[in-house]
Amino acid sequence: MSRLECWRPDAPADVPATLVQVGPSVLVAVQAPALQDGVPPKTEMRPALIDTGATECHIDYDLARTLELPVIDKQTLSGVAGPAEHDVVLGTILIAELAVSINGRFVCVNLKGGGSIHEVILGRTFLNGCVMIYDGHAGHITILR
Amino acid sequence: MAMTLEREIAAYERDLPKLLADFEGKFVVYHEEVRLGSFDTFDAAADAALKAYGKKPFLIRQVLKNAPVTRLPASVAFRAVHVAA
Repeated sequence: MSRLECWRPDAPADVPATLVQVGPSVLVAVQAPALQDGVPPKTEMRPALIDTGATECHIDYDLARTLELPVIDKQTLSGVAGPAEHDVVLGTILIAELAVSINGRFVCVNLKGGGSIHEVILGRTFLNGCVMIYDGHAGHITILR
Repeated sequence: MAMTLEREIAAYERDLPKLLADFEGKFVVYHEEVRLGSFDTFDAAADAALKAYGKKPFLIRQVLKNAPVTRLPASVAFRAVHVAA
């Protein structure tokens, strides 16, 4: 079984408080699809929030632009401000430590622009097949797969 | 983003009655107003679209009567804002 400890933005003095503030986070690689032009696909390592309230995984708009992820559809999402149209992009989210490769379509959301330190959201489709241990007392997250 | 897919989405909506009759549940690929084909899986549709069109715009959509509803997670819909008194 593979094991991954959570990511933190720095070396905080108060580890449990940082987990409360930042949320359960891991570093992931986001990769553009490979084209047949011989150029290696662009890849960026970015922090991701593990969000048990999200059904699917999402990628930040700015990150999608940086990686030039192909826009393959539009989708209307409902939120507190009413429905809004979002781009759907093609890409891959990789977590090497867990041997996870989530390949497919991702609805873009505005994370960095909203002040988030995360650029990816991992929803319950990621957690399907994983065990996540949230140790709020020690301030640790462990994911087993 | 730059690619708006307006032509592709309009073509899909134009063809939807026939697509529902012939390919419901399958994935279709459109580039401009032309359908590349229908595919059993999203991965197969994506592979074919990338091979055929590369960086050109293309639409991949599953043929469904009712589009699935996706709700924004609370981590995106809400953000705490602290204002100093």
